[in-house]
Order: sequence, then C-alpha cells, then structure tokens
Amino acid sequence: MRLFRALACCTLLLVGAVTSAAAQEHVMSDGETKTVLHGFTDLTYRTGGANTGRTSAFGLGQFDLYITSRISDRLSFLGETVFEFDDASSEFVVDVERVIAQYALTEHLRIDAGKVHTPLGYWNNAYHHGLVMQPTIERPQLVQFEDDGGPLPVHTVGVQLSGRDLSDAHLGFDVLLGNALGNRPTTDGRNEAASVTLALHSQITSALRVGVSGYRDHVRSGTPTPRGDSLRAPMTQTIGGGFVAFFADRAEALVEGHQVSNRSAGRTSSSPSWFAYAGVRVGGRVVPYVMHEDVRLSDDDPYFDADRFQRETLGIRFEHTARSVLKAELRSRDRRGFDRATELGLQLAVAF
Amino acid sequence: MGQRSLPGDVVRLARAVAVFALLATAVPRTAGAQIAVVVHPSNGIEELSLDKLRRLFLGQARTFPAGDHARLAVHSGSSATFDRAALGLQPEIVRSRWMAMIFRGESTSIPTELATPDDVKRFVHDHPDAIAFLPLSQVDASVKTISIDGHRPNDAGYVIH
Repeated sequence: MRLFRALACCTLLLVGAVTSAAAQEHVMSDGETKTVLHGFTDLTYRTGGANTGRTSAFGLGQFDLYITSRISDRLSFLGETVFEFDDASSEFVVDVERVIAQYALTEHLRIDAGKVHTPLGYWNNAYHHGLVMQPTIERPQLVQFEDDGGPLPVHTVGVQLSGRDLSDAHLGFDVLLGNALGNRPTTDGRNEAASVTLALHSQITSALRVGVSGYRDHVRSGTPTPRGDSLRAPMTQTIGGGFVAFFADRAEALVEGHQVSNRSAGRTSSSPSWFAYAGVRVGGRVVPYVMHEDVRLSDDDPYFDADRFQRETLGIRFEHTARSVLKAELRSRDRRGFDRATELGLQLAVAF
Repeated sequence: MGQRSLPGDVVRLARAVAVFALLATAVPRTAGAQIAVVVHPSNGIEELSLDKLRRLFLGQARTFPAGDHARLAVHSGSSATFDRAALGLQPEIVRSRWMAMIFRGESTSIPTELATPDDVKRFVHDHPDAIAFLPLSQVDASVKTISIDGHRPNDAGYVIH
C-alpha cells in the first residue's frame, strides 16, 4: 500500500515537473556573452526494513544548478553547484562540484582549467549529478562520489587537455594534471599537484564507444583516508581501467572496470572492481534494465576500508520526456559484514 | 432476462480484441515526406556519409570532412522524421544526448532550432558554414542539397523520409 501511495505521489509530481520543465532554457545575454542556467533535481523513495539500515522514506535528492556561459567564440565557462541535505549536520550544504574555464584551441582540442570530472571510464563523465540522464537510480558503487564511499577520485582540481574526433578512428584523449587525493578547492597547504590522469577512447560508431584510462597519484603521509584516520606513510595510487559502452535506439549496454593499486611502506594492495549494465528500449520510452556490480577493496589496503560489495539491480525506466524520467528498481545487495539486503526504489528525476 | 453463456462472452470479447488489434496495426504506413540535407551554395561539399551526418547531428563531430566548422540548424517540423530516419534514434533520446553533452561541457548550446522552412533557408544562406535539413518540397536555389551515402532525395536508397 505504501508503495502505491509513493507511486501516486511520484506521478503527481511528474505532472507538475513536466509543466514547469516546459521552459527549456533560462538565458541571460548582454549581446557579447550568453549565459544559460540549467537545473536538475530528484525525489527518491526507498523501502527500508531488515538489513537495509534505514526505514522506508522519501529522500530529497540534490538540487543542482548548472550554468554555462559562452564568453567568446573560443572561451566558455561552466559552473555546477549542488545543494543537498547533509545527514551528519542535519543542514543543507552547498557543494561546488565543477568550476571550469574552457578554451577551444581548435574544433578538436580544448583546455579545461578548474574542478573537473576526472576522465576515468565512461560513467563518471557521462552521468554526474543530473540523475535525469543517469540510467539507474543510484550510481554504481565503483563510481560513487568520494564522500559517499566511492573508491575512485571522481573530481580533480587541475588543468586538462582534451581531444575529440581525431582521425578516421574518431579517437579522443584526455590528459589531466591535478591535485592529489583529498584535494581541496583552494590552496591551503594541504594540496599537492601530484596526480596525472590519461584517457584514450574511440567513438567507433555513433552508438559504440570504447576506452581505457589510467591515473597515478602521489599522496603525502598525514592525508585523511575515507575510513577516518590518516595515512601513516606516503602512498602512490595507480588506477587502470577500461569500458565498452553501446547506446543505440533499442538497446544499451555498458561494461566498466577499474583496478586501484595503493602502494605504501613497501607494500602494494590491489582492489579490482567492475559493473555491467544492460537495457532494452520498449515502445520508445520504456527501458527495462539490469545491472550487476562487484566492488572489492583489499584487506590490507593502506587507504580504503576493506570491503566486498555486490549488488544486482532490476529496474524499469519511463522517459516521459528528455527532462522528466521515472525509475523503479528492485535491488539486492550483499555486503561484507552485513546480511543480504533487498530494497525497492522509486525515483522521479527532472531537468529544468 | 436471458442468461448468457460464459463461452459466448469469451468469444465476443476475443472478437472485440481481434478487431481492435486489427485496427491498431492495420493503419497504412505511408512513406513520409523526403527530408533534404542542405548547405550554403558556396560550400564545396556535395556528399556526406550517413555516419558523418549522424556524428554531426549528435555532436560527436564538429567539422565537415575537409575540416571546416559545421554550424547546425534543425527545422523543428522535420526533426522527428530526421531523428528517426537519419540518426536512428527517438527524438527524445536526441534531446537527451544534447543535454548530456552540455552537462559534460562538450557543447555550449544545442543546434539552432528554426520554426519554418523559410527560416532554415534564410539561416543557411546567411551562414556559409551551416548545415541543416528541411522538407525537400521547400528547397530552392538559395541552398544546396547534398547527397547522403551517394543517394539524392527521391533516389531509391535515400533513407531520410
């Protein structure tokens, strides 16, 4: 019964959201620059119960304001600010997720400077905070945000050179020089420009994209770790991964994997993780899908909390428009130290 | 009041469903209007591959084969047909792809959307780097129609209709 109530609420909200989303773009122009304001938000309902660690409830997602501004033919600005409720402080917090100045060197080459999505794999660059574009309710654990326990450095502050649609092989690349793990948006003595990310990919057809990426970082001792303590010795982190992504009219599939190796005090621990997603479009707007995830964080890792996380997801997505999407999912999670937990999720995601 | 038999009701229901299904599926599928891909008359290009056309209108490529910038414009009245026939995607998926590219910072704007064929012709005539599409019946000498995969509109192998 609660589920039907939740579905009814989501449907009502969807109608309202679609109405408000009719205004496609919010443009400010002074004749020389054109600034466009976009936004994303979502409402998610999750069932609770045994082993999930929570009660059934609605959750207000991130309220994401996204600005693009074309300053000249070659120079543009992109800013993304997220407002979200922080459980720890019981307050809404503001997070600047991206601030990027872009300069187009040619039609195929550009330089980005600022806080960017680290070009690791496919998901992290294709789907970020705007859940309306994301095929599932939640990000795979492998590419979860750093402050939500994800093992990859999904944001980096630095300078990036990118190439797209190069040669007949439609190659692309990204070279990013950035701050080390635990980076902060300002220089306050805890930063160190020590990470390098390299990515090479090819848009083989308009639907098929493949790529590999690598990341190397030197992290100072004393850097805070995700488990709450600090690194006892300097650490070198190396990440290698790849993906195959196929998104066509009727079918979509993505396989992505990364191995994170942390070397500290003469010992190296490796953590391989991957996920696979597949969906089939039915009748134009409905996409049933499945996803499997497997994340392993090594027992003797100097940086991560040891973990083994597996999750299977069965879902269905209704794309009412490109700007309003309703998703329903049944997820079964098996996590080390916990009993298997099954939950149902509903999500309404909109762009405005 | 006469009592109707259950098998009789089932037969009537089956007939109704069959008639509905027939009506729903027997709507004749007429060939849609031909859509022409046009460029500025001064543009030296005479032909594009369908793959290159897809990449351009999905934002995966930004230049003509010779390397010159391509400025995109779409005729809103023809875009649903173009999206399905040329890009092989539902119109909402195409919108979603462009929105995602703006979100990734790979584009600052979507293609210029124009309401009428005259607006499209005017836009293409005013921009030597433009590429657009509009109904073939509306094409005149102010723009140049190009072949797609070696086929002109109205050829047997032309796919954008």
